[in-house]
Formats: sequence, structure tokens, C-alpha cells
Amino acid sequence: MSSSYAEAQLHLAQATSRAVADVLTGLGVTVEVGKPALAPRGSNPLEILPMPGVMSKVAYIGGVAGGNVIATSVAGANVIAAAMGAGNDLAATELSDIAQSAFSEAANQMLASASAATAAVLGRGVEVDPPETTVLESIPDVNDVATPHVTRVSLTVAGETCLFVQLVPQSFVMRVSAALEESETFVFDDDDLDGPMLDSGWVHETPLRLDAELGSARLTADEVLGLRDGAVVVLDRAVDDPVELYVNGTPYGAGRLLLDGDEWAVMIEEILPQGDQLESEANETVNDDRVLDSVEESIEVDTEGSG
Amino acid sequence: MARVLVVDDALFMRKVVSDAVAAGGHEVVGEAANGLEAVDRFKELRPDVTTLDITMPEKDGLTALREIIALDPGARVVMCSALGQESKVLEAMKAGAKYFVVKPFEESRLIAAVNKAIG
Repeated sequence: MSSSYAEAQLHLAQATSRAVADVLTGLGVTVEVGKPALAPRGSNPLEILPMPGVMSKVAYIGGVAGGNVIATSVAGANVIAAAMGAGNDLAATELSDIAQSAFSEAANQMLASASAATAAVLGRGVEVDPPETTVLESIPDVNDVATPHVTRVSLTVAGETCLFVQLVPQSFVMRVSAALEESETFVFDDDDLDGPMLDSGWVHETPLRLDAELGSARLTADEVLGLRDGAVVVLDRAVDDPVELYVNGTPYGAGRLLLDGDEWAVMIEEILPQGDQLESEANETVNDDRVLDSVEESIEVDTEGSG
Repeated sequence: MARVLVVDDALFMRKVVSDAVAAGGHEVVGEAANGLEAVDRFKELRPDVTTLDITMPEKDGLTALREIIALDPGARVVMCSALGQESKVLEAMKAGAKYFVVKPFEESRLIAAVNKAIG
């Protein structure tokens, strides 16, 4: 496997495992996220899962192979179920029906969040089947011949082992890999990788996008659906209020709108304290925007399941 | 007080939603565990409000929603979905759902949605 394919998988695994951990943290559970690892071909990514265990998995749909798996011990599932409010016994050595259902619901939220993170990395929507939850007496083989790329992230949930496994389709790996190769500056925070590292010199040449926001309005979905040609939406700013400035979506300052000939212009009135923000934005630009641009360009040569 | 049909494939979520509906002073007249059951139970019970999960086996919530609205264009349906499915909001609202609650939700939010649905 090329190092760029490995980097692509680890990049995806890192983004999605953080999304999974965010859901657990939101439930009030203590979570430690391990480093993503590639599962060697032929190995079982769940081999370290304590038994008895519980597993929820979703499969991608729409002609895409692969999917995601969340698995933990029964003790771990009881912790997560209790955090959901199932009222189950934390000391139980088995899962009650309500605890299994509560764990399944939590896994549903984690897997949905992982799918959203995957879609964000790929720059396109990702659809999955409804998750299936299974109580395990022995370690299952989740490998799939159609998805040779497998990553695993170990999360420690209130002291219990929880594994997040991704069966990554070839098309996803190609998209992310092509994108990372196009970017000469991708940085992965794993010292074991030989990926191209950050050279601070080029950062100052990185194009950034500056947006000036005139104002905004909050509408309900009903109101949005009711908008028609000619409708007027009142924004939350007076005509003489300053406009807010954003660099790559991050608040950067404020200014006044001017007319420069036939074009709008902004006279800067305030720059917010930034520190190393600009350099940070430059890194984000390379790691996200360029990646996704090149991903889109690679779609035409992407062959599903070719690997 | 509204008569409410609770639809979710997860036993735990049916309990959570049913408890919230009851806490809001409404009556849970039935439950269903998938879209197929949901449409059948809707025909049978004609509830004032239906709470409907999106991701379910057999028949998903959006398909069930469209069939329920076809049966009764005035049906009041509150959609419940997981994180990451917010993109389904407009699709559900266009199909005729009255309100949308994203899981995990506070009990008060679901009660408020049911109350607004019966308006």
C-alpha cells in the first residue's frame, strides 16, 4: 500500500473518531481517543475487544462498499447506556433489553456523526443503512473482501475499551489520497508517518478568503420554505453598523462598506487580536480547501471497488 | 391533551419519547417500531400527533411520512432524528412534517413540539 493511501485512511480515521468521541463527551462520558491505526490485511480489527461484547455497524449505501463499526465490552455498553439514561445496572454482567436499545441509540448517534465527518472530509454526502446492533459471545470477523482498507481507533470510555473500525472503500481512499498528494503540505500528527511536513515559508503565499458580513437573520424552516421571489428579510444590522470580517470563516475584524468606483470595498476599522491565527488559517486552507478541490477533480477517474 | 402515536425502531427511544409525551400531559395511544407498522397504526388509530423517527428498518421515516400525509394531508407529524441528519429537515418539512426534533433532545423540546403541532 502506498504511504499516500495510508495517510488518507489515517486522515479519515482521525476526523471520524473525533466525531464519535464528541458524541460520547456530549453524553457526559469520559473518553480518551487513541491514535488511528491501519489494520494489517488479514487481521481482525476487533481482535482486542473484550468478550462478551456488543457491536453496532452501518454499511454505506448507494453502490458504495464498506461501512463503520462501533464495538465495546458489555461493561462499556452498560456505561454508555447509563449515560443515555436507560437506568440500567452498571455492575450487570449482561445487557438488559433497555440497556441494549439505549446503547444502540447511542451507537446510532455516533455512527451518524462519523458519517457526517466522512462526508465533510470527502466533500460529498455519505449515506448509510440503519445500524444493526449485535451482542457478541465471540469476536466476529467484520472484514469484507470489497473493502481491503481497514482502520481502527481505540477509545477508552470510562475505563472500558471501545473500538471504532472503518471499512474504507477504495473510492474514498483514492479521493482523499489524491487530494493529499496534490497538497504538498498535509500534516498528520503521527510521528510514524513519512508524510510531507509543514514548511513555514510557503504559508505566507497561501491564498485566504476574506468575507465581509453585512448581517444575518434567523428563520425557522417553515419561514425559509415560505420564502418567495420578492420577499424581504430584515437583517440584524443598522445601515451604519460596521460589517464583520472573517478570514476563512474565522472572525478577523470589522470595517465600513465603501464604494470603490462600481465595486464594494471595506475600510478596516478594527483587527481582532490574532496571534498565530493567520498561519493557522493558512494551514487549514491547505489541509481542507485544496484537499477537497482536488478530491472533486479526482472523481472522474474514481472506480468503485477497483482495489 | 393529544393522542400520540410514537414511532421509533429503538425500544429505548420509544420509552424516552413516550415518557416525555406523558409528562407533557398527552396520551400515548400506540407505538410502532418501523415505517410499515407506523402507517398501519396510523390508519388504525388516527392519532392527533405522530412522532416519527427517520432511520428505521423495513420502511424509513420519510417514506412513512409521505404515506401518512397521503392518507391524511392534515396529519400532524413531529420528526425525530439523530445528529448528522439535519439535512433531512427541509425534505421532511416539504413532505408535510410539522416539527423536527434532533436527538438527543431535552424532554421539554419534544413536549413543546407536540404542543405546537396541535397548536
